[in-house]
Amino acid sequence: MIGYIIRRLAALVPILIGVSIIVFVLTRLMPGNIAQIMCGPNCEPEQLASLEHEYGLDKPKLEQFTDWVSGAVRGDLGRSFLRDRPVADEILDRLPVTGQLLIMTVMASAALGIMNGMLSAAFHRRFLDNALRVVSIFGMSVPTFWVATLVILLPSLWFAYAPPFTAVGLLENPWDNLRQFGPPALVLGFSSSCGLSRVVRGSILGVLNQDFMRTARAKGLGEATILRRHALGNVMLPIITVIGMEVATLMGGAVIAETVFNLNGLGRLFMESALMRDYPVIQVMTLYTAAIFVTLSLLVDLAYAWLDPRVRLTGGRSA
Amino acid sequence: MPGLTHECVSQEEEVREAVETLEAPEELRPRGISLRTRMGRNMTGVIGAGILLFMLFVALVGPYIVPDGPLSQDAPSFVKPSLSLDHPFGTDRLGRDVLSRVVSGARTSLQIGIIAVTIAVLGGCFFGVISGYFGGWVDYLIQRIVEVIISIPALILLIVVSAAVGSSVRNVTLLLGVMGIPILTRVVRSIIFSEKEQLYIEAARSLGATNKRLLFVHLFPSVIPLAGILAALALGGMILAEAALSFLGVGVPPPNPSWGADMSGNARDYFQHAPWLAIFPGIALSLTILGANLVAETIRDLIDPYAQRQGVGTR
Repeated sequence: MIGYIIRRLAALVPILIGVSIIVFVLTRLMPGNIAQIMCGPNCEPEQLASLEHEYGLDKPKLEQFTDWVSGAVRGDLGRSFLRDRPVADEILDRLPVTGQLLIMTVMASAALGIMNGMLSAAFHRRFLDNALRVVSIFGMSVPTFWVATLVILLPSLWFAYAPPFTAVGLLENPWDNLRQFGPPALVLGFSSSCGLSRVVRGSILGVLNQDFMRTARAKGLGEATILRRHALGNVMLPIITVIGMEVATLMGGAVIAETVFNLNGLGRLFMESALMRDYPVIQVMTLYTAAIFVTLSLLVDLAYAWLDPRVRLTGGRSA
Repeated sequence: MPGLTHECVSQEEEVREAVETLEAPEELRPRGISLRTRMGRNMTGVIGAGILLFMLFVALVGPYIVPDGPLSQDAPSFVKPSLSLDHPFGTDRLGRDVLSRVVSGARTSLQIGIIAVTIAVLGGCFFGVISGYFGGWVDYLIQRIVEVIISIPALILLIVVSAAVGSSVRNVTLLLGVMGIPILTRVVRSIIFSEKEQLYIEAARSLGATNKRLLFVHLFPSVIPLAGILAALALGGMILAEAALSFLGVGVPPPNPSWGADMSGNARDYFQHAPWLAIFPGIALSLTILGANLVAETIRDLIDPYAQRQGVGTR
């Protein structure tokens, strides 16, 4: 087990090196740089040159890359061009917002997905099942940015309702905070619960006619207890996989939700930096996202081994 | 948004199972109603295909029928968006007819979606077959590259690349297509792994067939049905991704009509007074993706051996 974890961790290193190369090359491919943007349309060549020097953009590309990598390894993530402060500070400032959003989203998604999936399986091929499947395929088709737009727009039209405009911490004013974070978390959570509920439904249907289920029924347990105690436990693995992988796609979702709901989190930071060619921020954020993603898939694999004694971990990678 | 990545990862298993079933000898295939009968009975697929065909019709013919061009401005309704008989879907902040833009948006959306899917599937089949057939260092190299690319969440990577190459209709199309290649490479490769062990390949090889002949005469044609399935499964995701990118301002640039872009940026300031600006492009977009997803769902049901067994006596 320990050996396996070490091998898997070692396999992450070349992937992350690959990601950092790709991201570096991509950001350098961007037309125009931050110096040109800061300098504005009526830019003197000398002014531009001095700005480029200040940002270190006049150095050879290879040197820029090695500088960045050696800095990143030592924990120095560089300075944001645009905001002129360390990238690490910028990220830490915004982390609570995105963190709270993602946690609430995953909670909403897991609750909705597991509940709908179990109901669907319990009422297999009956009205409720069909209705829930229609809801889930609608939920997968309707873009989150449109649902989010409507969630803001319709209450404001009908009830002249608007969520609080300025950011509030959860501890300062829980009610206002939830009014800010609830809608985006529900929109994102519902959207990703649709895929989850299908997995839950399919897996539960897969175990429903197994011998131990018949035994449980023969013992005289009610359907609800059987589903909760016996079926759900046996389908935890695929559920964990889907939730784990969801978190990765949710980082993309956070960009959209934070843009629409005007939350000042990492998604907004990423989007603004991409549009303003703020290389250091884009590089770090993309690399971190990839790192979180590969770590999550490792954790999912480990959870398999931990939850299911039949799984034996061998080999370097699960290819 | 439902991400490209995780959907495709779970698809890999599904598709592989499905293809194996399709290829199983007649007597081993799950017994049941014939494929065609089930297709006929499957309303889901019919509805989905109907929606897609309607959208395709709108995209091809619509721009010639609607009253105005997507860019032409109607002076009196300039600045103040309005809803009237002349403009049943209203006008936007520049006095452009929203109906005309939604109709032209269908063209943008489907054109990008279909071309991108084609690029992704062709590329995925090419690299997948090469990787699976040759194995060894070729396979190793291709798979490591694939691994690196799919370890960055799809939307994040799309935003970075799109900001890097600059946004235009052509760039977005190429970008979505190329970014779809890695995950499809994986699917095709896993199919080829079992395909190349088949007897007919061994027979061809023992007759002296060269690598080139094996690849082009036997292996590439063998993935054509799979390519069709993969294309159908990927279409909805592509259309959604284009809309999301355009919404975020790194996709189709203005003034091109695009459902995603028409709901974003400055237009949002006018929603309060002109809700139709948000509603109609959104309905068109959702409907199109729904159509694509319903078709994909039906294909999955049809090729999934497990779905057949579920019909009888699980409860």
